[in-house]
This record gives sequence, structure tokens and C-alpha cells, in this order.
Amino acid sequence: MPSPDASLFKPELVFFDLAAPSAPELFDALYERLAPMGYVRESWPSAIKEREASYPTGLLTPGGPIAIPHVDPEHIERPYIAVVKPPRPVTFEFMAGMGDPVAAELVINLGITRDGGQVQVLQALMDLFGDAESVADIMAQTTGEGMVSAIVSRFGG
Amino acid sequence: MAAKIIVACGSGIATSQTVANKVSKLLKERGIDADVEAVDIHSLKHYIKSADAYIAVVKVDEDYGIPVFNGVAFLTGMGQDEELDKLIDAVKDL
Repeated sequence: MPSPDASLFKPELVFFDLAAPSAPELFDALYERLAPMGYVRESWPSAIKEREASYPTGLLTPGGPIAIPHVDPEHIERPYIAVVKPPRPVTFEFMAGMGDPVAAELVINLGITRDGGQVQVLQALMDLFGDAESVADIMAQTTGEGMVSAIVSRFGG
Repeated sequence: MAAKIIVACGSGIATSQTVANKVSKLLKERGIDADVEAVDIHSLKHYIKSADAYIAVVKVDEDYGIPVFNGVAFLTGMGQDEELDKLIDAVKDL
């Protein structure tokens, strides 16, 4: 399998200040950041809320509770991956109803297209979240540059 | 004959493909011959007719008449070994 495309991660797509009491409100706040940068279309907020309600993406990983919300490519303007570390955890329903809702400490929004690269990235992320030490390093980051580096430096290994 | 295994998620392009790749690799390592295919949830009804096993990354509220497995285990790796053993038990004699 080819190495994941680390260029999808960018410091300006790492957000530490998106405080939201719920997942839908987090999506609204994220849209306000992503839309001006030209990553998502106007249809994105309603599409991602609907998708998350029907097919939730909260996960309990060995590294902690996270969520990986994403929508169909037609709502994406150009591929990206946004990393949100909210000031307070945000509740997401567990993927496939396999467990109780999770208080996500990190939300990774996959702005995916049909080019195939998302599989490598998602697999690399899941491998990373299987390792408690990597996750401790990621969760300790306070800058966009630090976060991108903490994640992509562990890719392709 | 190779077992046919279907993996479904909401879009068929992110989590289900990732799980399909992982399962394919794990089965190969264990010497099991299988075709693992990712589909979106809306195409599931069509593909499941010819499938031997279904790995779900979405909620399952229907009986498809074939064994169903927990895709989240393969995604996160938590409970993966147990789920893989069950999957192999279900498809190895096909």
C-alpha cells in the first residue's frame, strides 16, 4: 500500500478554539473556518450533520475517544483533513451503534474525494490511534505546526 | 472457491474501504482465500445476495441470512483478533 498523503494535513487546518456543546454546532463552527479557505461547499454543513446522524463516526480507540466525521465528495471543493482538538470534549454517537456515545477529545474531519488516498490516511490514523504513546504526544500539542508534525511524522513507518 | 465478503459503510469510500483493505490483508496472512469488497450502504442489498459474509461499519437492523461481523473492530484494532477468528470460522470451509 502506498504511503499516506501527508500533505492533506496543514497547520491552518488544525483548530484548538472551536468550542461547541454538540457535534452539529461543532460542524457549524468548522464550516465558518473551512468555507473561506475554499475547502467545502455550501451544502457541507447540512450534509455532514445528516450523515453523522445516520452513520455516526464516534470511536473508542486504544488511544482514546475520537470522531472521524466525513461526507460524500460532492460537498467537498478540494481534499483536506481538518484536525479539531476542542477545548472541551464533544459527544459523538458510536460508529455502527457498537457502543455508548463517546466524548471525543479529537475530531478528525476527512475531506475526502474519490482518488483513493483517503484509505491510506485513515488506515495510518487508525494505526496511530492504536498506540497510546503517539496519542499522548498528539494530545499534548498546542500549535498547528506541532499537531501536523506529531501526526505525519508517524506516517509511513 | 474464494469466499466473498462485503464491507459496507455510509459512503463506501472511507471506512468500508479501509476495513476491506485491512481484512483482506489479515485473511491473506492467515492463508484464507477471499474477495473482500467495500460498498456503500445503498448498494448493500444488491451485493449481499452473492456474499458469504457481511462486515458492517453501520448499524445492522436487518437479517440478511449470512453471518455479520463488527467492522469497527477491524477499523480501530480493538477486539480485532476475536472478530477475525470468528470471520475465519465462518468462511474457511466455503
